[in-house]
Amino acid sequence: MPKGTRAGEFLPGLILPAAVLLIWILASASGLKPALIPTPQAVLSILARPFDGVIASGSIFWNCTVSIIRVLTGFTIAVLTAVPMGLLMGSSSAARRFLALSVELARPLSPLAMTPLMLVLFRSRTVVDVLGLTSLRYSHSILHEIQIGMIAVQVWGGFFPILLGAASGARSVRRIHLEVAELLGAGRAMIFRHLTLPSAIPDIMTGMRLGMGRCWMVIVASEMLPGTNAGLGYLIRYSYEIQRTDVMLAGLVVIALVGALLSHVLDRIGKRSFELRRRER
Amino acid sequence: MCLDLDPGSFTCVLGPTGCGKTTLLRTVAGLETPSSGSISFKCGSGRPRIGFVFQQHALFPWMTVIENAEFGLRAAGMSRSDRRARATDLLRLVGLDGFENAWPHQLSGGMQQRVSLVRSLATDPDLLLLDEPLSSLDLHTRFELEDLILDLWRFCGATVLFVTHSIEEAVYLADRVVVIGRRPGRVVFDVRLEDERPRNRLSRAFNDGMLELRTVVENLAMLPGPDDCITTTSAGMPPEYR
Repeated sequence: MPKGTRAGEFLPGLILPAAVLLIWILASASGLKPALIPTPQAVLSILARPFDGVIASGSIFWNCTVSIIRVLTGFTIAVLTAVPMGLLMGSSSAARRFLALSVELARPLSPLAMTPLMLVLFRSRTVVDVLGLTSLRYSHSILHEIQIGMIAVQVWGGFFPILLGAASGARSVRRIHLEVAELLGAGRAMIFRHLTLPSAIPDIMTGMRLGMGRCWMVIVASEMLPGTNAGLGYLIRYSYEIQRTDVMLAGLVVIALVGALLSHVLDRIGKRSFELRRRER
Repeated sequence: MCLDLDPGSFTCVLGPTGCGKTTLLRTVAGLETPSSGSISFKCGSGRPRIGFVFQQHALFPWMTVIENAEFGLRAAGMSRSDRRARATDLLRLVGLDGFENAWPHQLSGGMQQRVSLVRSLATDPDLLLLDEPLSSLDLHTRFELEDLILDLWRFCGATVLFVTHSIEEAVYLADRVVVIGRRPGRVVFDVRLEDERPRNRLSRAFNDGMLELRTVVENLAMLPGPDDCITTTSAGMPPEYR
């Protein structure tokens, strides 16, 4: 693809963010109190030094890493459980009958609604406590920030979009392909491996993108609840408490950028499978 | 409806939309269960091996040409090198050498149907069922594939049941043409064509044959009831349809 076309694809998307930035600059220049709306320069100067400690809550980089690791841990567990279960639901009507009601009952329970319960159940126990990593107990590592309750909330958030994606993907196998495979003598295992799975991959990818989005949204929200002292959500809440809107906005910018980046990475991974199916139509 | 196929014969089924041609094929293939009646095969043990080619190519879009071609062999448990070799041979036979690793969407409609033919013939079926396999192709490609299908038929010796809308296609290909009527679906006309192949589409005999069949197809509505199946053994027509 020629470079000019790529820029042409990309540039129109920058218009709105630039407009928001412009309004922000104008608003902060018009004499509003900086405590209410900090200048973009103030926010930028925080973002420019991501490794420096801010307001005694660790650096932006540290808080961001903690959030990302929590998200990726929960998301990975969600993928590993939801994909097999979804494929099972999609390809076996017995499994569907067994699970459908439970899924429909559990799905509306928002991960945020589950957060207090998880805090009750797991308190602030971390991976270190659960795995009994005694050698780490008195030092401080990132593992001390991976609370079991939060991971559970993450899994809850990511699970259902991925489950439904995998289930509908497994059902999306075209009938004609199933008939061809049957006539050619393929057994159940071969049909699953060579028909159900490849047909389901695009829907699984969609489910994973939605799931990742939800995990990322949920982690920031649940970090605002009591029981943690790290993460971007914590940073934002804490900066509100001490009236540092510049730090708060820097946190929001990082959330937006990292969220978009994670989504983009998943998108790239899924691209090939999407293309294969689109061409077929 | 009663229909008896000779082993190794090439039978075309003609009939208006909705008369059950496709249902007939699908029932023979075991894709549908007949609501009444039965289908029996005279070959040795149990069901024969059946190859099926659909109107749309129905190739697996996530597999390459050769992976599609060897799918049945893989299902039969053939080793990787054996099935590669056989699929490669068959692809060469239909003129697709060099396209082994292409994706189905990169091929033209005619080439896709060639791959479908190879896929269903790779397992060496006793009975090959074709459901309007050429109807979405342009005329030139159709002529090419008609000849290819005849070559493949002679090569593999399977019994062929070929559903088509095209009278010309039926007269060009078949040993025997069966016309099915609508409501109830039944065999209303059954003719054997004994002209030598390759047939000349421009010859007098060919066009006479087509004309006779066209007369039948166009007069379907006026034909007698279900049980009066008309059978002729030569290309000749009973006088009332001339």
